[in-house]
Amino acid sequence: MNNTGKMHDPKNILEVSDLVQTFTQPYGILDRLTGRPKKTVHAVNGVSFSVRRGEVFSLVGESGCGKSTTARTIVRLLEPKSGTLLFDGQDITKFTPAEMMPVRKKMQMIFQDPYASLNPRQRIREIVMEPMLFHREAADREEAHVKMLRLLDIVGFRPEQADRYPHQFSGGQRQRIGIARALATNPTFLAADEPVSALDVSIQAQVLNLMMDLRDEFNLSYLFIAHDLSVVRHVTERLGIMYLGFIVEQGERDRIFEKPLHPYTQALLAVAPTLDRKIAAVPLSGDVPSPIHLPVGCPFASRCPQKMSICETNRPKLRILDGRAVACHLY
Amino acid sequence: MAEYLLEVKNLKTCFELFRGTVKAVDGVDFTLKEGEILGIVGESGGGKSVTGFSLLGLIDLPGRISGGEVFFRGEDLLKKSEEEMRRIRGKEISMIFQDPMTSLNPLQTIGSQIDEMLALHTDLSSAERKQRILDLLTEVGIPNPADRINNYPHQFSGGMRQRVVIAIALAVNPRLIIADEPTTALDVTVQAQILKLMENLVHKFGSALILITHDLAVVSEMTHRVAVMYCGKIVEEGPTKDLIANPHHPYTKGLLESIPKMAGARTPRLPQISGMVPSLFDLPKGCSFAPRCSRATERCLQDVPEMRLLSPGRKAACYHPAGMAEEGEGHE
Amino acid sequence: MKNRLGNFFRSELFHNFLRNPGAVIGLVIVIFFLVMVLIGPFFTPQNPYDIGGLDLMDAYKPPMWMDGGERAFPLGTDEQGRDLLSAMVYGSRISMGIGLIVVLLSCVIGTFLGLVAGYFGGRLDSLLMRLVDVQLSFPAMLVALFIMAAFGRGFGKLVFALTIVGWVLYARTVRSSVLVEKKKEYIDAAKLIGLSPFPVIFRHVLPNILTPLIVIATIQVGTVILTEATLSYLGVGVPVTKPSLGLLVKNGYDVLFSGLWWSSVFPGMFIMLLVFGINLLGDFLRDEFNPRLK
Repeated sequence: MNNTGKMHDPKNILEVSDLVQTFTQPYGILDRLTGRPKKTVHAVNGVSFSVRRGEVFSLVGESGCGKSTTARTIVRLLEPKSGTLLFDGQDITKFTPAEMMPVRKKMQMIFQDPYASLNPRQRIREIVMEPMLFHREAADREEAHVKMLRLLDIVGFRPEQADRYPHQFSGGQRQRIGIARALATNPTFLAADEPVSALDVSIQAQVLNLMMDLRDEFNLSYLFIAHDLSVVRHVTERLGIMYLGFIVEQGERDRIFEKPLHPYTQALLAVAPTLDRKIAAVPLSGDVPSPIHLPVGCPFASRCPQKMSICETNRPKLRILDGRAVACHLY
Repeated sequence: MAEYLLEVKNLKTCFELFRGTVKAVDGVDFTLKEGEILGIVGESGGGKSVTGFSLLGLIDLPGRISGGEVFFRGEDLLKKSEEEMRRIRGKEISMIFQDPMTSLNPLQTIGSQIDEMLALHTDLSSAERKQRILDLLTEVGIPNPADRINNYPHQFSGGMRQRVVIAIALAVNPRLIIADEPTTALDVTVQAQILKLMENLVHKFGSALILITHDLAVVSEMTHRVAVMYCGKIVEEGPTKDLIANPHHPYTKGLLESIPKMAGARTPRLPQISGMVPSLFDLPKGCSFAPRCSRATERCLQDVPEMRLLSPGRKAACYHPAGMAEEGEGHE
Repeated sequence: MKNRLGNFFRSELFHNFLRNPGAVIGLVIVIFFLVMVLIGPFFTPQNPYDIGGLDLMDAYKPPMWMDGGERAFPLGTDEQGRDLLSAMVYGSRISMGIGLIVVLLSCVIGTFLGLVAGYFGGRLDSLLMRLVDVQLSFPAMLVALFIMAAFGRGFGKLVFALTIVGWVLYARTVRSSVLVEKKKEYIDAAKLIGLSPFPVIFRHVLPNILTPLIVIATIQVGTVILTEATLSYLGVGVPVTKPSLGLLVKNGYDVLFSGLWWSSVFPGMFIMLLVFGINLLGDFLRDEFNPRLK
């Protein structure tokens, strides 16, 4: 089962090691004729972390840092290029669709865009019942119907609303319908890809509270993908900060928020807009480098205010320091 | 010389749709002094963007401005012809939009897009314009402006594009800039850069700025005053610091409390505003916020509260404002 | 059902329909033709296919309001004494029948191939789309003419030829809609349930690309009728024994300069009116369903 040689820790629901994901840009006849080089986007470059049972683990970073790709690879919407995925002690990295079937029941996803994540032509009850019926979580349609109504009740809908279509609901309501769908097969693990970033602030709080209530009620573990540090601080136990497909710092929430070590984490925390303080100075200039041509050295070197010469040539590895892992030559 | 640069009185914009008439902006009043930065905040459907577009007369059918006055330097913009408004847009008032990709023409170099603005609204010679473009690009922090001037928008990153948009907005030194969610599409590290840049430039050029956003944290970062909108109305207005420290309207208070904090103790649950924004087709009879409000009474369900002065410089439209000095709940 | 109908009459679509004179006229024309071809044969003076019922004595009769016209032949007769109105009713039936069958067939085939190409991508997609490109680089009429010339006249062959010409349009439109839809998260959600590709395609993708299909199919009915008319006019369409509107025009044209103008002008006007009606309706649907115009 576990061919990584590492011991599986039964406390972990998910163990990801050295996960790599790349995309090749479309390469047509014309490109071949003109001899244009093939372009490969290095989206995720050897990411390792684990999610404990009943825990919220967050991956944080800016757009294009590979956090969503990581989540989508873990739930096997994308085939991993290399690395291993251990789910509930099983190595699912190379599972066929048929082998994935029982795993699918246990790992579901909450999506970012409440307007695109529900099939506009399905009624709410069909949306929630489809996974149940497919996985025989209910003996017949009648039982599925009862279960569906119970789930809708949990996420805050009245029974008569089950007959409506998605467009009759607001963004926050749709997100709750998406959560009900994710819960339909009694999963133990949910990957939530920016679940509140498309929502209004007041609705954001409702959805976050709901997600946390459900964790207690259904004994869920979450992989929480987000760019908003204040949201992450509120929900998570541990987190990893991603930059250009690498995890640059990873550990317990309080350690990282109280004393960030990596210059990128420091910058993110410094510029996160909050009500209680004004941003003193903007520590970062420039933009994220292209994931097509990865820098040889530290991925963050081009924007780092504390760059040294070694950073240009050697890529730092994650090292344990002060109760967390950090990849930086400063330490 | 008028006392205010901009004085908006009872502005109303509605959209006549198949399902009925939507009052997207319903009697909005506010003022803006020269050089002042005003934030308009609210959630989707609050009417903040429509307010911004209405000021410039950029409302297309099925929408129309159905009433009110917009005095800009003493003249009512709503009485101007389309021809006159075209001269005012860009020259006197310019706008920065959320998505820099759609507000720039993808087929035109950024140099010529700035040049277009200058040629239209100034008498500068071609050489002077060139120099001015270079100055502007330097000003907004684009490295090697002489090389970048001939680049197309797609050759810039999101943050750099928004800098170009800001350069265009500032090109002819407008008195007022309306920025509609200017940093929403950007990453936090870039957002911080752009906000700082806008704050500095507005100060340097002496323009006034209306910053429309859903993000109270962004507002608290750089505005002098803030107006909170809910369902087409301004429900609270006041100096930013004061308002955020001590919100009077229960909606403002709820919004502020529901934002997770970056420091201090964590609460297991976030305080949340219950329910959801009502449909604009079907607004409640009294105060639009009453059905979600923990302080609401019978009266709130019946009558629509007017904006009134609660403390110096602080107005709110609420019968039972929070955070009043004596904290007398029934105080009116 | 009753409720759904009620909803339709209260819907924005119906409201806009009533305020669009073109669409109303289009629908009236289309309904007129549908009623005519469905119940018309019970009322026509003659069965034009029944050779035994024809009388050469009745040949070359002008329309009834002209000198020599008779009430029995309201729009006159042809050289065999066939009543023109009856021939037109039966001819419309054939034209519309071919139009609908061809649209149905090419829509089903094109949609299926477009779905598969768009959803799976890769080599299959490239192959299908190059085929589409090649076919679209020839005028549709030329392709149809070629097929008909090779196989000869006949309904089946005509339907076959027009379907071969028609499916590409659906395939291409469907493919591009699929490319948009399959990026949406609800498709990911369906995959995460564990559904295999075909259930995802038919249960989740297909229902969401129907609107552009309906628009194209509507307009295509008119186009197919015109193509059929042209082919029949050129003598490679329907068999002479069962003339469509196009063939009627052609038959009339042969005697047009002998002064029998009616036998080609009336069928010609019928084609024009029918296609005009369908296009008005199609344009309305296109405007309604195009989100960019909203």
